Amino acid sequence: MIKLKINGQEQKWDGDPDLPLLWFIRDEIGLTGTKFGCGQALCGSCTVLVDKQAARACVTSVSDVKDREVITIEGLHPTGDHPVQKAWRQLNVPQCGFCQTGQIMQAAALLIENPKPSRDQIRQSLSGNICRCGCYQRIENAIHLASTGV
Amino acid sequence: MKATAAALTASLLSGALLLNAQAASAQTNPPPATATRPEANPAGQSSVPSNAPPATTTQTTGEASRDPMVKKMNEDEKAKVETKGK
Amino acid sequence: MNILTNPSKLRGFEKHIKIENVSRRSILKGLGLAGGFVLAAPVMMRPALAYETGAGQMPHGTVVDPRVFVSIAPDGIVTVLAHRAEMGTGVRTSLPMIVAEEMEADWKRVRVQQAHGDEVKYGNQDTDGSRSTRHYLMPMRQIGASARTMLEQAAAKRWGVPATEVKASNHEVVHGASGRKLGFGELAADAAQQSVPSVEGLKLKDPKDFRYLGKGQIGIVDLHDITTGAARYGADVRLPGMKYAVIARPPVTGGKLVSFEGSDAMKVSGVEKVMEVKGWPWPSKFQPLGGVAVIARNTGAAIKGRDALKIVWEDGPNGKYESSAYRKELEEAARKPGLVVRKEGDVEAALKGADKVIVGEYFLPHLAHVAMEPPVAVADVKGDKAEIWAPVQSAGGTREDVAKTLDISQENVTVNVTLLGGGFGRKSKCDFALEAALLSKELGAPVKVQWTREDDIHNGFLHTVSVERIEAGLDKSGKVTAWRHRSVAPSIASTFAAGTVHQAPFEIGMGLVDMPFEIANISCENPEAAAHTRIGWFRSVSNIPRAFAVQSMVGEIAHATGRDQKEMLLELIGSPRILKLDSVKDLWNYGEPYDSYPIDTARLRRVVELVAEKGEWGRQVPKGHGLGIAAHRSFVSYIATIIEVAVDDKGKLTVPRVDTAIDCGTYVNPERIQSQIEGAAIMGLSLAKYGEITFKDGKVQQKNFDDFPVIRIDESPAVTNVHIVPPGPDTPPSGVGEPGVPPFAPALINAIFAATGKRIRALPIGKQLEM
Repeated sequence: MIKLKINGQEQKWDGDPDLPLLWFIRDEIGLTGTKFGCGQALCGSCTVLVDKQAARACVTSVSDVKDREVITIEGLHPTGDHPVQKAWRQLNVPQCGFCQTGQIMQAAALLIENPKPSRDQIRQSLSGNICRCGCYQRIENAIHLASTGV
Repeated sequence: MKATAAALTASLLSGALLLNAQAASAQTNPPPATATRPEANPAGQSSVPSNAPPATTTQTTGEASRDPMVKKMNEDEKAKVETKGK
Repeated sequence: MNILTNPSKLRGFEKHIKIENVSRRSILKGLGLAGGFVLAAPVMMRPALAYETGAGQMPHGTVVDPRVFVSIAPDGIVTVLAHRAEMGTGVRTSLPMIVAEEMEADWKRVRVQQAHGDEVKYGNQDTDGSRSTRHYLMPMRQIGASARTMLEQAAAKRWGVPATEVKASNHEVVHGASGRKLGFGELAADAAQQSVPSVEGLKLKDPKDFRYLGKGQIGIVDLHDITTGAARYGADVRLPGMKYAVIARPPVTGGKLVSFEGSDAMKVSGVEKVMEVKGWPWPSKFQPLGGVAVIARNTGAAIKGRDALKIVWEDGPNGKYESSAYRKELEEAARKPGLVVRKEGDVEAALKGADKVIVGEYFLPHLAHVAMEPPVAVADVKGDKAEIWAPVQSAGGTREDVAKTLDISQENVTVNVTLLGGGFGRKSKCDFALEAALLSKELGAPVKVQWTREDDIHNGFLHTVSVERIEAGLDKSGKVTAWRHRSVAPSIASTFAAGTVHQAPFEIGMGLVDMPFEIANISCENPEAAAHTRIGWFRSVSNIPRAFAVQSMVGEIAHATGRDQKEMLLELIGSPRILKLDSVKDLWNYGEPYDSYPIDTARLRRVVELVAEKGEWGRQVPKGHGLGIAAHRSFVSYIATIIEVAVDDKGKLTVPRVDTAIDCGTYVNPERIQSQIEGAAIMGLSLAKYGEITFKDGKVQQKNFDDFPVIRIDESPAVTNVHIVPPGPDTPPSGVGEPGVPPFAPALINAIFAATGKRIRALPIGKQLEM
């Protein structure tokens, strides 16, 4: 039996310990904000925070996060008003929106580690998150806005 | 602050792949990556070699459908795309 | 940063709506609907519009009954139905916004609900071809104006005053003379009792009174939900007792299942069942390919189970499809005459008599859509009833095809359209929804069928592969006197008809026969090419290879004659005129009437001039940098793009700046136009730099984003500027979703030439700059 914490709530799993955390979160627990885009940690759609660091849930197994704190997009902020989320809305960033929770989680992780990143640092940090609709200019601007308030 | 974070992380992770501990990036000390992942070409799945001729621009393949439902769907869609494009 | 050029100068829109008398008989013809009086727009539209669109020709045309699209609750909340699919273009926001504008609703008190697949009720729902705004601007305005009229009539009756004395304004109706007011909520019940006004009598708002249209200040309706993870896509649907399924499909198009063995799969924790899925022999439109499904309690277990299956496939007639050999075939075919689809003058003689002939053979490979959301669908089939939840671009078509596949009546099929995590044409094909329906019927339980990224790349409907060969003959003065363009590519029609070797009229009409240059001798030809995989629509379709070839050739001619690229382009476009393509049989023109949407070279010149001005064409750039330009008309819009590239001494390519000018006629939501064009630049850069699907032994060789890369944020242009042409008073709306894509790659290639002297004619660029 594996115990883990997701968004502050204790969860248990006695199925396959190698099950990707992504499917545990989405299918077993029902938190569908974390998305499946590639299954190989190539696209970043499944980004969650594990002990406040960005992790790709598709290659992280449930056993990997035993006794650890996992935060999904649903748990990033109680009313959805994390500075990154607010900046995102201010700039009307999304097109289809599918990759955006992963982008937001990666951005949140970046700002924990580096609260005032340069634009270049933003681009490097988010380079693991693909947006096929091409919202990159706005993503960069939103993270810049969230970090500087400008 | 960075040194403390790195030390804390090092003590929590077991068997983790520790990347450059000095880097400021949030991806420095990710949790382990041991989940099973989809195989692109699963080992137990194979094709019988085809004795088809080379696939050229002039050699058409594909069969006209014998299923009347699909035959009609194909015809209707072909007529639709030829006038409306989609 | 974003630059909107004079976005709000919409002039005199309403006075150009010519209202003509239409006989009642023609209004009522062909209704056949139970209950309610629905105005069947295909008959109504023609007389009531200053311009006619192809909307009436789409299956099920348009519907303008406000009672179908608008409901008002007693508390005043107005709900507008969105009947087109939302895949990131913003139509789920923009079309309801048009209704809200005309009905004088307060957008803060408007809610949007997605309509089911039901084209008899809602009109055409095929969300493709960049048609939603251009076909629905007028119908949505009419719906809003009708609703407003009914609210005003209800208020007038309540107050016992003539309707001419009352006016709806921002969610209430006001009687100017007495100052009395009634909110929409209070009037809702009475308004519903009013007769729906006839379209001829509708008074549309004066554009100078627009609060929302043309302003670009409305956030998309799902904005908050997207940022919190609450937005619901296909894979997010969960039903009690739902099973998760993944399917192993034949690796080669036209292949079949020989045998399978599922005992190892059944041993995987969480796997419940292994079963065959019915398939249809190719070509079968969008019917599933068939294969073996693994049913499990969660997606991860199903995937792991599928990996443990033992399967033998028979590859079938396409088992030898191999990309480099096929490319040679295309090139051989392009060097010989083909079916003539446009002919003016005598190209053969003109080429023989030319002082110089420039030959360009341009190759573009297959592409996969790779929308961030892989195909997925949920189905719940109970007896002769089926309910589907899926990210489908064609809700009506999906409903029809589910009904046919399950052999049940359409009335018993409910298609719920979820948000789409990108479409780009892939999700116009409902094969994934049909798979879910078949499995659910077989299992007697709700099923979610999830495609992995590998499935998406291996078993999609790929963008076609093509060679475009252009021969341009020049006289001594450098004037182009002859133009022969041969286009060889397997057709999308091959997905519906075995034996297809020629491209369909709509493919011929995308950048081949509608080439707008002023040249005396022209020949456009289409030699044969057979398909060996499923081919489908990919954002902007055949415009990609055609614009690439044509606009690259412009760059080559400019260089050969020592002229500036932009000047060369304007010279070739020639004088401002409307093209009369008499030699072209059945010009597709994107399904639009030529009178409303002629090929107007003045508009093409205009976007070239605008982008040259805003993009500072001719500006000084550092060493190793270069500027390139391209312009193309597609989906009846006009686009011109200038790209600045930088190529370092190792051949590494970066893009410091992109400027695009777009003329899409009358527009609704300039902020979404800007996001579409920003996105089109990324898609253009992806296909130019990396995009390539290749085949060996009939199988797609790529599998995921490691070997089919797309542009990421660190490679995206540093700055992308979008400039929107202010429309003339009579300019109908035209496409936005796709037109930004085609000019990007040729502008990039022209810029690379300017920077390095290297001319790239085969995409993707890949390692060509490193050589």
